[in-house]
Amino acid sequence: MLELLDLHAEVEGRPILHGVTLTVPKGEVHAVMGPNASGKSTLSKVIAGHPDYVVTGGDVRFDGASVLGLEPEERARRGIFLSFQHPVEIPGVTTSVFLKAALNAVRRSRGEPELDAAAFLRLARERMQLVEMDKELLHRSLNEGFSGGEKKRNEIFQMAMLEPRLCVLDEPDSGLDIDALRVVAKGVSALRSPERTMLVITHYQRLLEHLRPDATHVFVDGRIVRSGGPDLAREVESKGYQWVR
Amino acid sequence: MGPVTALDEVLGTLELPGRKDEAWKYTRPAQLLDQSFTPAETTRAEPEDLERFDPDARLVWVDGALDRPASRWPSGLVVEDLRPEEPSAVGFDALNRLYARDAIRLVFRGSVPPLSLVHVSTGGGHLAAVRREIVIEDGARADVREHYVRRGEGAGLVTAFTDVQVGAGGGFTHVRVLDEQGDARHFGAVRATVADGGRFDCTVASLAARVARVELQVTLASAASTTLSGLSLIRDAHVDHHVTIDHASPRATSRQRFRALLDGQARSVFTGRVIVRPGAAGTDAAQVHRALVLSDEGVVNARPQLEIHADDVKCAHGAAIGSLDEEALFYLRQRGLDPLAARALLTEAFAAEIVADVPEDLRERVVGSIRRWLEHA
Repeated sequence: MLELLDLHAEVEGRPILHGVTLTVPKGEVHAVMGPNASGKSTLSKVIAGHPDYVVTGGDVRFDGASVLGLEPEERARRGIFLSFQHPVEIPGVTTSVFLKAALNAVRRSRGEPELDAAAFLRLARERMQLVEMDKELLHRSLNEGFSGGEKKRNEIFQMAMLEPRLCVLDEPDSGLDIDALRVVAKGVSALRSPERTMLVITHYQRLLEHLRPDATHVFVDGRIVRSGGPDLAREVESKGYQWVR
Repeated sequence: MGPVTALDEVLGTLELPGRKDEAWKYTRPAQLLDQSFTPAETTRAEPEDLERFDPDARLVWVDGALDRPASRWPSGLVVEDLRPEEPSAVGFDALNRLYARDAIRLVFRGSVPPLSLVHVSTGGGHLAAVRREIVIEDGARADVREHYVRRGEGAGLVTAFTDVQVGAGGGFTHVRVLDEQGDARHFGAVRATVADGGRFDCTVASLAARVARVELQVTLASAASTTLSGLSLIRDAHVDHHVTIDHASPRATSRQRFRALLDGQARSVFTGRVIVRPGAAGTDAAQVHRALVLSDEGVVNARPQLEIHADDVKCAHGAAIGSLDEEALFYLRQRGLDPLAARALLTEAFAAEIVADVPEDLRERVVGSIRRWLEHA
């Protein structure tokens, strides 16, 4: 379960989040919709513990305990995963080398044995099918020269590998065409589980038609202004964000 | 046997570069010659000095003296003594000539398997001078690796000159690994002339030495080509890679790829001088230098020097100095890597392009050095 309690945060001295309160029960998928520059991405970075984002008030609690004192890697090892809106390109580091190191770091922290190269590759090939990702990409530099769709698939693929308990997806649909959107949505849906909580941040309702979240929250100017069911997303899409301000 | 006089007794005769010498703007000769050194007694290599090197294709020098019993060279390789030349040289060249013993010429004909030249220095206030010529006959192929390692304590100075002639249509792959731990000073020079259609590829890995200057000079004839790559790992040390490429004739190609990793009070100096002579039309020269600075006290001096005296030439250069990408670090940490592992991954990635230029059987050794360097931060 994820709980945001009157969360205030700033970046470079500029306040962005103005008291966000939200509870996502374990196993549920909630959507956060909002216009550009409303602070949606900040919300995701704060949950993941980005060092540039300073929490000035409130709390982020995961399974009943605050995570604000934890480093990003400690949050990751507790099962918090952020799918980046803009995944970084890292020339010279292949996806397989990076992901094997990450997966084994997470497995060690869970007290599970590390995977050797063969076991890792077997698992990777299986999980790549989930997002119809080209196996060649595993051996190329991380995200370097990847298309927008390939980068987003790579994020969901990594999520499938790391098996997090809380997934924060920051605009997993941005920059995707209809086919790529369908593939990404299918991958995310396949990863829904009673043990896994998801917060999906998006600009458009299109993705939500595929995902069918349990609840939708409208986010404007650094706070949640309205919460509701599937109808809310459609209403926002047709009437615009001005309607809820 | 060379002279046994101490260095400070002859220093005045060497005409060392002065303060106004542009080529020595960021490295002073006094950094290499900060104390007097004396030649060492002839000693033998210890088995542990050599265990990492091919026993069947290696020449071994200890403090500048050829250890003949420890050396083996492949058939097909001609080894000749090098006669002393007229002492016209100045500076470190003169210093090297004065102290070099066992100067040899290696002549490669046809195709010869890879050969290692292993240089062990012992510190202890000793000076070692190595001098050789490598001749690749027309159409021949050769692969020579120079390794500089150190055992023992105390200050030491190594100077090493390798003069290379690549014949027409010949090919020479050269690797120079400087791994002198401790209080080591090192001056190295590789000076190559490449005849028509010949190829000279040289990778310089300066992994350890307190003060090092490595000069690479390449003169290219028609349609000759060269790729020079360099990597330096510099922690609380000073490494100067000084490159001169002389496009003396038309249609020659040169590539320079140099990277430096700095930590602590470190200084990286890179000069990439490219001379395009009149008439050298169709010259294609490119140069990139990148430095990654991991500390607040790193200093980088990178300067391209293009002297173009011909038309219809392509000369590109680029230089970049940066620190580790914070967004990339956060991305890796978000996936569960601790900051040390994330930094190591990004740093290794930075060096990867140069490591890829090292022959495959040496790559693991270089990567191992990079990892140890990172771990000893």
